[in-house]
Amino acid sequence: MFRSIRFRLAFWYTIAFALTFGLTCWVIYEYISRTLSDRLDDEVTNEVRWVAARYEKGIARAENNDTLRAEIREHLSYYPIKEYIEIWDSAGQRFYASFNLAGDTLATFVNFNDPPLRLVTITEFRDHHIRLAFQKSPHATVVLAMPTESAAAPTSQLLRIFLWIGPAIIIIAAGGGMYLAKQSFAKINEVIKTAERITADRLHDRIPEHNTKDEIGRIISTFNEMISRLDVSFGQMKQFSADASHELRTPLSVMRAQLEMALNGRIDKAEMKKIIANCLDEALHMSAIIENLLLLAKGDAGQDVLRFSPLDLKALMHQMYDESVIIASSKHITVQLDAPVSATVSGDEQRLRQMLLNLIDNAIKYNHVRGRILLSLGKDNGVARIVVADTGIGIPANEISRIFDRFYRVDRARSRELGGVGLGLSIAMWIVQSHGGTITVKSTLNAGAEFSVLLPLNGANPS
Amino acid sequence: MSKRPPQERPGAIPPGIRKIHILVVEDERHLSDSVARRLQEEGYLVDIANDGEEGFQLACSKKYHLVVLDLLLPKRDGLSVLKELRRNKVQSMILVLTAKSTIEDRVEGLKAGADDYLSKPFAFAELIARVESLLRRHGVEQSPVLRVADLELDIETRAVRRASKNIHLTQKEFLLLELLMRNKNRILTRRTIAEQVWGYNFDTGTNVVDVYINYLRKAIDEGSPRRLIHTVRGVGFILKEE
Repeated sequence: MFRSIRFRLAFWYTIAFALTFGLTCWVIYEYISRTLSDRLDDEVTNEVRWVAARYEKGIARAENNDTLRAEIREHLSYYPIKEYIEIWDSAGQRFYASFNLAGDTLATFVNFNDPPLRLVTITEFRDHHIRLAFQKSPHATVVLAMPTESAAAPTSQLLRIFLWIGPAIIIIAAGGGMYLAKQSFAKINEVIKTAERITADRLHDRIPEHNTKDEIGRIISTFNEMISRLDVSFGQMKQFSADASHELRTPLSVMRAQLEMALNGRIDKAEMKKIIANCLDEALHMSAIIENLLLLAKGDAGQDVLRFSPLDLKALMHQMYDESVIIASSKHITVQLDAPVSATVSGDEQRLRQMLLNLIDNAIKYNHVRGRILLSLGKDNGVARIVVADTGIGIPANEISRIFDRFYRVDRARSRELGGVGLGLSIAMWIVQSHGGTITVKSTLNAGAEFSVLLPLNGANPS
Repeated sequence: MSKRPPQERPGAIPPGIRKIHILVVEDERHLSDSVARRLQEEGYLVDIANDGEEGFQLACSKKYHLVVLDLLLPKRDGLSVLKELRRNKVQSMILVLTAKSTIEDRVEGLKAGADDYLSKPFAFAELIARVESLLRRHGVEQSPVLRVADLELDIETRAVRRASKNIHLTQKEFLLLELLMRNKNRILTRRTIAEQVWGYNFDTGTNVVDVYINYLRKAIDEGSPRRLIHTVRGVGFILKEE
């Protein structure tokens, strides 16, 4: 139970609330009880001073003792709080005692050698507490006391109120805290339930979004975005592995059929040779697929497979031109080169060569006999621009966005006839992107395709 | 079924005159040639089409008992050929061949009207078994009894007889013997046998195939003057009359 954040939240909230509430009560209690006891002290002090002053005035005027006593009694009778008073004259005789003292005396609580004005609290006077003050004046010592109840009663009442209300308020706060925590965690529980439901096969599920503005709403939308991204990449992975196994199954089935025939068929030597050659072809085709797949997998895994060094694309383009002229001659395709400027990039020569070869290979494969290919190199705005354009069959507009997808081919059957693996453009794109560049394609159906590669020049910041 | 051939016993008929027509539609020429050749060796009359359009046109002639149809074809894909054939009431049995092997792909193929499904790469032994089973199921291939010399195996009743004497075999022994008899006079490698009988490839170290071949030899060849099951050293096994 304590593991649940919801419970802990409510628990700590209640603790914090109880502490704050207790502290507040304590401050109020202290303040009020101090104020009240200060006021009592003031009253006691004022009274004792007044009585002492009045007595001295009486002595000075040589008033009649009874008149003086009557005046003091009268003054004291106005005072609402019960007070005890005794006046001891300089001869040590009790001059006056309030009659509520009856037979008791306050003198026992007083040390007559103490300083002239003093306040003490006496706890055992007639079962109650009294606040006692005594004043020494030239001709007398006045002792005056008031019960502390007048100050203590309101504070103890306050304490009782706090003790009753406190727990009630804390219980209410705890309930409220639990409720609030439950409210916010109800949505989180929903997130958890959906998350538990979502597996690799069920990535289309989303958590219902209520209010996207609060924290929970943001968690939900963040979570949903994450699932969407997972959905897409899982889909791509599934497609990729289905495609990869499909691509490998076709050459395998040819090899298997041919080898079974070689093992059991009544075949002559010439046929046997043909079968062996076919199987070798298929094995090489499979090797090419696997090699390309490994290259892409390494690229996907972010393994450092590229070796960058300063490279002049002009020289590379000239080499590529020489190679492509030879390859293109079998289809009587004319290759033109337009690379007048030097353009130095930081690149992996072997990979860039492979990328260009893939583009040129496509330009030849999907070109017409006696078609043309244009290779060009230019510079603008800190980038080198390589263009490989052909006069071939082109790419249908609705397929153009998918041609960089792995194993995607506009016409599978035709492509297989041409020996394509379906990974050339994916690899070209990966190579360009790992050089910080971009690759784009424009095409008109039956008129040709034009691939443009932009690479950041050396010194420019590759992103 | 458009045609029902006369009651003939396959064991007694020399290859080539069974008059069962099969069309192979497959764009991979090496594969279609090998498949056609093997089917011809089994005595079927085989035509080949190398793209979907040609395959569709030929199949529409309705002379084929069975069409072996690849799904990924140039010009016209196999699935649309399949649907169109069924819409045109072409009753030929259709065995779909494809490099796709997910359950969805199978279901899609069967829904479109395929009678059976074989994923690439496949063993000839399995192709032949599926073809024969389809033909038998539809009453084209008549006898369920395979015969080699005086050995008989009835696929339906599961009865095995050697020189008219009943032989009891376990499930795996029966499957193994059926495989050997269907491929009589052909060498079967250990891996092919393992794949066809047990459904997967054993690690090379296992000798389970040899063990079962021995069981089978005891059951079939013991006490008989002529041995039928032979070992081809370093390759596999073969069932043949000497």
